[in-house]
Amino acid sequence: MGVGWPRNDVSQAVLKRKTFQKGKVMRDPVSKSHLWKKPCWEKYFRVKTPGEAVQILEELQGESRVIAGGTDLLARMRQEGFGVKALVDITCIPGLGEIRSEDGLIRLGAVATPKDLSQSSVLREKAFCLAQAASQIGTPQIRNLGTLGGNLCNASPAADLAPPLLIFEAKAKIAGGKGEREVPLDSFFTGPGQTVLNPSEILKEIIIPELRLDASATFLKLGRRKAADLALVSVAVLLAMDRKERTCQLIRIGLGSVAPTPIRAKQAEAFLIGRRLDDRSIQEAAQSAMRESQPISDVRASSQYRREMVGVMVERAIRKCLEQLEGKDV
Amino acid sequence: MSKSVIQMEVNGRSVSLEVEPDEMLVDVLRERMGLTGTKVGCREGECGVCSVILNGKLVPSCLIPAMKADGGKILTVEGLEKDGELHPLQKEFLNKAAIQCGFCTPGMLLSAKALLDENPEPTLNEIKIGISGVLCRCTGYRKIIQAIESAAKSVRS
Ligand SMILES: Cc1cc2nc3c(=O)[nH]c(=O)nc-3n(C[C@H](O)[C@H](O)[C@H](O)COP(=O)(O)OP(=O)(O)OC[C@H]3O[C@@H](n4cnc5c(N)ncnc54)[C@H](O)[C@@H]3O)c2cc1C
Ligand code: FES
Ligand code: FES
Repeated sequence: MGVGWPRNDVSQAVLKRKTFQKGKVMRDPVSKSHLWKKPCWEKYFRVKTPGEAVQILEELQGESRVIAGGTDLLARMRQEGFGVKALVDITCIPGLGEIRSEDGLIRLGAVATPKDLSQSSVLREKAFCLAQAASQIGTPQIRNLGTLGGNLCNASPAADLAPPLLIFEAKAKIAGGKGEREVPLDSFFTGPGQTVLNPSEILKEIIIPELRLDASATFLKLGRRKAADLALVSVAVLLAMDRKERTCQLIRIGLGSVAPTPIRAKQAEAFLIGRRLDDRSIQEAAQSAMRESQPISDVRASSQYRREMVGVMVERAIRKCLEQLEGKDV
Repeated sequence: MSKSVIQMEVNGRSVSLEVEPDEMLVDVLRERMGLTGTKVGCREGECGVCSVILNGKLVPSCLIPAMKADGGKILTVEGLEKDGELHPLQKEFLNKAAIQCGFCTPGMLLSAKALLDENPEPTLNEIKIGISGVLCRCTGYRKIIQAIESAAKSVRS
């Protein structure tokens, strides 16, 4: 079943191209499916503190992996047939799955599951589009087992939680041997499957501001079917406007599945800011977003189709935000 | 490789057994405990036939290292019947003929159980989402949905 239906195909198609360039043997998951191996590891640690995790990761440089839900990692180990010395399970670290709001900021623990996010009253009230995105990930089973941190650290261009977090200008709090650091999510992803994390660091927390009262935000995902499907294109938009003039005061556009990493459509944003929000300006912004995306073709959709859909979805998302703003009394 | 002893409560019975660090929960259930009601399909989280309820949550046991389940409470399809009597969901699956080959049935039953535990009065759409993580290769889902609808009624009454 998983055979004709590769899951991480967006990133894998890109990754594959890269391995090919490096002169390594290209792996074809379809024709070599009979060779898929059972993922294996020699030790399994269930750590109780981030420090403990970092220590083990440092000791076993490069030969150990963090496992949160394992929904990406184990499937990938199986498809690519690699084993490691140790897995470090961080889901038992007390408090690492908490979702709290304090002083206008929302703190999301790295091992919060999509289910936690979609049901969180804090998010439903103050960052609804993130709860929306979480409720559309995979299947009920995957939403119970996967995690926010895994979704981001796996760094798939199709990670559903990335676009909504990008429009909130989220910060990633990272713990490592030399202490903690904070990185804007915008510079967290460095390529398909790649992040700024070094092998002994873990992502602890994502921090976002609450949605401004006079703004609205939305998330739209286009898949081939409703359940268990990665996005062909996903779009998150955050919008605030001057109500009298109907001019755009604040706009952020996050895109998934259409570039090597999740991205912001910054030219489209720059075009729209200060402009009157009408059919023409919205359509032009959508076209600008299309030009900024660099989608690939794979088994699920062609790059032309994906690019076309960027335009459609960006326009739709901006209109949806507008509708929400018009319904709001501020 | 060093084995470790894990403790779990499976279908109300407490068990402790030695597992390899990279043994998966689904294999421990099937191969070591003989609970072959839990099926194996894709081993990648896509098809849902390996679903079990772990600490109240529906999860794919093919993606769970047994070590992760240490200390956990697990319900498999074998644990649905009580004192020789089938669970209302099982009865309705039979009544409505919601089973053809039966391969997806354990996953469907546990999906429905997890759904009804959380939401005793699901709408049609909520039922569809509830079972969306299990692929049925045969039935076309309609009878499964009908069975869950009537089981929900009989659980409530
Ligand atoms: C059937 C199926 C459907 C899916 N559908 C979707 C979907 O619709 N949308 C979507 O976005 N994704 C989807 N996914 C992918 C996946 O489930 C999600 O990305 C999930 O959130 C990953 O979380 P995890 O905890 O399971 O990650 P893991 O597999 O545990 O980890 C993924 C990677 O991140 C690293 N990692 C994890 N946590 C940390 C941390 N805190 N610090 C440092 N490194 C870390 C791991 O080492 C690993 O390399 C799907 C997967 C499956 C199997
Ligand atoms: S076997 Fe676990 S989801 Fe398919
Ligand atoms: S009855 Fe055959 S797979 Fe569902």
